[in-house]
Amino acid sequence: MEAFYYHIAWRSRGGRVGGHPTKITGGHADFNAHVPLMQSFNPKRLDLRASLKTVPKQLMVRTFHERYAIQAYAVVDMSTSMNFVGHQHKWQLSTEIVQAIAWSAICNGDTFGCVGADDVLRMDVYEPSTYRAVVVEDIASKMRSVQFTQPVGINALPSVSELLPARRSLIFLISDFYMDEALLIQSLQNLTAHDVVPIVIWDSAEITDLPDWGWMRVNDMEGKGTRSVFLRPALKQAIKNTYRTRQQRLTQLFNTAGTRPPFFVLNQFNSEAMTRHMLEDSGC
Amino acid sequence: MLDLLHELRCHEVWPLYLLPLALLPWWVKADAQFQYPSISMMPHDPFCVWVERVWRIAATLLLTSLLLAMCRPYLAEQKVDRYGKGAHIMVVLDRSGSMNDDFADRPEQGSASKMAAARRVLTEFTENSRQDLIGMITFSTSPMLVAALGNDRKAVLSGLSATEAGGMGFTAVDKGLAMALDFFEGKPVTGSRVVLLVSDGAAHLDAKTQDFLRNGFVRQQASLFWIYLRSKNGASLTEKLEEDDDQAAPEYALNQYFQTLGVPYQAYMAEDPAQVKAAMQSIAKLKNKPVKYQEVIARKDMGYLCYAIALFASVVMFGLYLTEVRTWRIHSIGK
Repeated sequence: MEAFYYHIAWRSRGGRVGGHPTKITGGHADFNAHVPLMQSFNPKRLDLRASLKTVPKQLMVRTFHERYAIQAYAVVDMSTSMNFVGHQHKWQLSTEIVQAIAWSAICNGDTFGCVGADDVLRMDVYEPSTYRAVVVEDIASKMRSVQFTQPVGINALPSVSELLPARRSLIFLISDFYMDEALLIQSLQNLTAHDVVPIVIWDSAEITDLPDWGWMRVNDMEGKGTRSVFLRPALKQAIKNTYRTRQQRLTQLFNTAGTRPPFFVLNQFNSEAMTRHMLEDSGC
Repeated sequence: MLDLLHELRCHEVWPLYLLPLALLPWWVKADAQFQYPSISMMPHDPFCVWVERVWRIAATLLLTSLLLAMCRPYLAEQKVDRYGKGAHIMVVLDRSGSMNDDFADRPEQGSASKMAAARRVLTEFTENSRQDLIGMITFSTSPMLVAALGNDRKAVLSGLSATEAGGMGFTAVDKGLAMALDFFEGKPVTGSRVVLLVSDGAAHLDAKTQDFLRNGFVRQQASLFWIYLRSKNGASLTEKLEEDDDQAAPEYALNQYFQTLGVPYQAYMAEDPAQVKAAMQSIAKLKNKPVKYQEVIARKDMGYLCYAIALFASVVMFGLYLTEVRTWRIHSIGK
């Protein structure tokens, strides 16, 4: 389990002392402005250089913003398609990612919470926001004990915001994103208050690592029927193209919805790549 | 073609009650199914849909054709009208002992016997007259049926080659002719009827027989051709011997009698193989009336067709079975 580092480009408005910029005046980390001494009576922060520049002369002090903790949440897709086993068991991979998020959040001094959803909100993996470090093990054991039985979709995704705080939080949305576009747009709209990081889990066994030739019947894991597929190079190429189009479409959708750009996880989760991704675009 | 459908019968009916079984392939779900996260990511491909359909159609076809084969279908016996130019020819061939001699009385080494000459010419005649109906009777002391009047050339040719065994006995012309006439009895007159008598001698016919034959010829409207294979010293048909003795020269008397039959009659005196051939050619020219006759086609078992379809369907299914993907990835997906 490797932690990744994340950074936010927005200022939170409260909570406990932590490592993220806020709009709260105080502390000594993020410089805010020079104000007259009488306005903020703190002689410890006297700035002589700034005071000399003022006309008429008056004493200026530096004010700072406080650094607070934020709330990080993992929202996990628990539809049956996450039970897919290719190079990796997608659910196992999601568990790893959730653990990494939890560990990173705890290391950053932030809280961590987890919300799972399939066709209903799944309370068995619900983890309220907490500072406890043991949440990393808790959530892992909760997710490991999940059994997939009936084929289910992810119709409860728009309602996960019910379990999320009203305050802007960092939301990691972990899914394979095979849901209908309308449902996805609806869900993203409900999450506009938050800083959403979509993590798309795909497996090359479903995209490229298919047999070159052969006839097979594929069954939709979410119970959307059965399809006869006669694999041949042309069809393989078409499948690849479908995924490429889907990738572009998702990026476009997330961009429109104002989330961070999606992080695509193919077969394995790389925390360094995740860090890089989080720093490249810190959200706003 | 539709007529053929009318003639389609079957031995059993009960397998038809099982025909709903043929719908079974449209109900079953294929057992080997791979789990895929979302088939919406699979591009729509008509070819794949048709592969699936062909598989189900082949299965239906297999069941249906096997059930139909269990009905043991057959095409009933049927009669087909055929038209031909030519005549109904009954060949009445002499197989008496004297036919083994050659035209020069004393058989020489390597020379053609009269039988051989007649055989060669008749074979050629039979082979060339494709549109005639031909029957054949051989006679010596008593007549013997070789081939009934019909389209069956092979029977006639086999009969002709059987005469290589050599002749024996006497010349009972009357019995041979009577038998030949019997074959015209009761059949519609759809073509000119010809009795072709090939012999090298004759026999005395008594008055009763003569009347009987005359009645026969007139009733059947059959014309008579006589190819008389004359030996060097044989009696002539036209020259009467001095002694007025029918018994001594029955050929002359027979010729005279045939001329009184009241039906077209022609006699050819052939004294060597070349003349026999010439005589046959002139006969071939005579018969040109169109002939209508019915050919009987034997009942035909149609089960083989069902089995052929079943075989085809199972080959298709097996071929598709071979193309089926067994494993997607070793550690993956699975059933």
